[in-house]
Amino acid sequence: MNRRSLIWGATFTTMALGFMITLELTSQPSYDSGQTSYIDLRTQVEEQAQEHQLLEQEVSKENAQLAEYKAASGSLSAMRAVLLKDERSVQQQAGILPATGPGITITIQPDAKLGATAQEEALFPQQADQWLQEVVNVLFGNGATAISINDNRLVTTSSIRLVSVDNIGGVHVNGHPIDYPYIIKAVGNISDMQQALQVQVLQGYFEAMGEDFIVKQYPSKSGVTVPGYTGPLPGQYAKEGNG
Amino acid sequence: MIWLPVLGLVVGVALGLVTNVTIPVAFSSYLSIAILAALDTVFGGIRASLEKSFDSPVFLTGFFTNTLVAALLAYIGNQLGVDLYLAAVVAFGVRLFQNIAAIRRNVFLLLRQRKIEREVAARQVQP
Repeated sequence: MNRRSLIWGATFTTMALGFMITLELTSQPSYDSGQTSYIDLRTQVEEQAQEHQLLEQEVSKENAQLAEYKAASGSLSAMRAVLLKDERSVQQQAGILPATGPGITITIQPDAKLGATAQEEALFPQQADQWLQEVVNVLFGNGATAISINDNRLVTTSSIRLVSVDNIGGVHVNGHPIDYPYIIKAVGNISDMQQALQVQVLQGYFEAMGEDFIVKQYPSKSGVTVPGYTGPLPGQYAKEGNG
Repeated sequence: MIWLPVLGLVVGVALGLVTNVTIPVAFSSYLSIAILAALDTVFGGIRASLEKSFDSPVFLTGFFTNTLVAALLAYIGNQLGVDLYLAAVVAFGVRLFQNIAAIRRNVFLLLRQRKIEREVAARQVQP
């Protein structure tokens, strides 16, 4: 009797087990990315939560702007003032308006006293655009909010190019030729920018090529003024459509 | 009669394929833990039968109760935000290995016992 009940019990349970396992295997979608582990999912959820928080902040910002528009909707002058404020904010973000604040200036110019050989001195004029880009990238990546080179404001569409044939020509910023001394003005967090420049040992590289790399700090509120961008803007030739 | 459980397994698999039931991804973890509980009960049953202490009603009620309670526990843990799912996985995992080890020991004992019995029987046959 005991053996018989064991057999029947085992039969029922194996049947149920087989059914459940088949169900599990046929129901589970296959993932090719390999990101199926519990920890991966948890990380993804955390990332999504962070993104959600950022989006919520954005939504509250947009709501505040909407409330501002609604508050000003009764009066034409109030609406105009709000729109002008917005325009100014957008212009500031785009780099069209001058920016003033604490910052640094970097002066790059040839210096015979540095004792570089003729071969070393010849390096910088051949790679000037790359070195200027390097300095600008380091500054933008470490606290700079506005940068100009020889008063040419750098914006998202700016270019730093070396236009030279047989060593005749020079660096063009935003399509404008610039000449020595190259003066880079940067508004932003002074200590961050300065530390980043030191970490990258840029001064050492420039001096090895016979170029001065003089960094000056201007910590006051109106320390450095970077002019606004005056060149062509993306979309300036676009026109409003009819349909 | 020994082929009946194997036939049961085949019938279960066939039923699973034929019925075309799909479990939503959200409930997939509950089914996984239920399968783990079911496996634990099956191995427990095999162990009990080897130790001559198998009780069919206990086995069958244990199978269904453990399966349901494990899934329920995982569900409650999910609702509370506590990883009870992991606790169940660890508990059933440990029991599963203990049962498998006991089964292995019992099978070895059984085989040795039979070998000895055969040898004794062979000696008795010899004049």
